[in-house]
Amino acid sequence: MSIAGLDPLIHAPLRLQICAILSATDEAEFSVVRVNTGVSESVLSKHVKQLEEAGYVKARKAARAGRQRTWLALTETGARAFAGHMAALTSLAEQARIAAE
Amino acid sequence: MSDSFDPAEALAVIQEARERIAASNPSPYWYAPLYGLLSGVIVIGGGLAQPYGVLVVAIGLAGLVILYRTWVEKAGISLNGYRPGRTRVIAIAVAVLLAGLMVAGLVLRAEYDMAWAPFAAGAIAVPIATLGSALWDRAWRAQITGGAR
Repeated sequence: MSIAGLDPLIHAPLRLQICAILSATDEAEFSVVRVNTGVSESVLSKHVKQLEEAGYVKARKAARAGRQRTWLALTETGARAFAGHMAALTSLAEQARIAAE
Repeated sequence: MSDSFDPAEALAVIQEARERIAASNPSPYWYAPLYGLLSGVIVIGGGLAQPYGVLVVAIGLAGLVILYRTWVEKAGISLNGYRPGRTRVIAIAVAVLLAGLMVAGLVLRAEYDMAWAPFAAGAIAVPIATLGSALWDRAWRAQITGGAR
C-alpha cells in the first residue's frame, strides 16, 4: 500500500509512539518517553538515533542538580513528516472504512 | 502493533501514546492559582509609578519563570503557551486581557490620581489568569487526545 505522506521511518510502532509523544509537547525528557513507551533505554536510544539521523528529532543534554538529563524534540522537518504521515494514515483508514461498508 | 500495515491500528497507537502522556502529567493543583497570582503582581507593577513598577513587574516575571521551570522539571515535558490550536487562542486572549488591565491601572493612576487602580486591576487579573491557565491546560489535553480527556 502506498500513498503520499506515508513515511516508513516513522511508521515503525515504537518510532510512531516517540513521534506521537514529541508532537504533543515542545520537549520531552528521555526518561518520560521511555516510561510512556515501555521499552528499555537501549532500545529507545537506538530508535531515537534513527530519527535523529533522519533529521526528525533533536536531542539536548542539560545538567540540573548534578544530574544529566536528555531532552528530545521533533524538528520542523520531523513535525512536517509526522503530520504528513498522520494525514496519510487518516485518509487510508477512511478509505478502508468506506470499502468495508 | 503488528508488522502488518493497518492504518487504523497505527492511528490507535498514536492516540494511546498521546493519552498516556496526558494521563501521566496531571496538572498540579497549585499551578493555575500561582500563575494567576503572579500575573496579578505583573499587572499591579505595570500600573505603579517608577521605579517601583518595574521592580514589581520583574518580581512577577521571575516568579512566572520559576513556576514554569519547576513544573517542567517535575513533569519532564515542556510546552509552548502559544502552540497552534485552541491553546494559542486562549493564551492570546489572556495576554490581551492582562495587558488591557495593566494599561487601565496605569492610566487611571497617572491621569486620574486613582492610586488604588493598579491594585484593583491586579485583583481582577488574578481570577482571569487562573481561569485562563486552567482552560489552557484543558485545551491542550483535548487537543492531543482528540477530546478523549
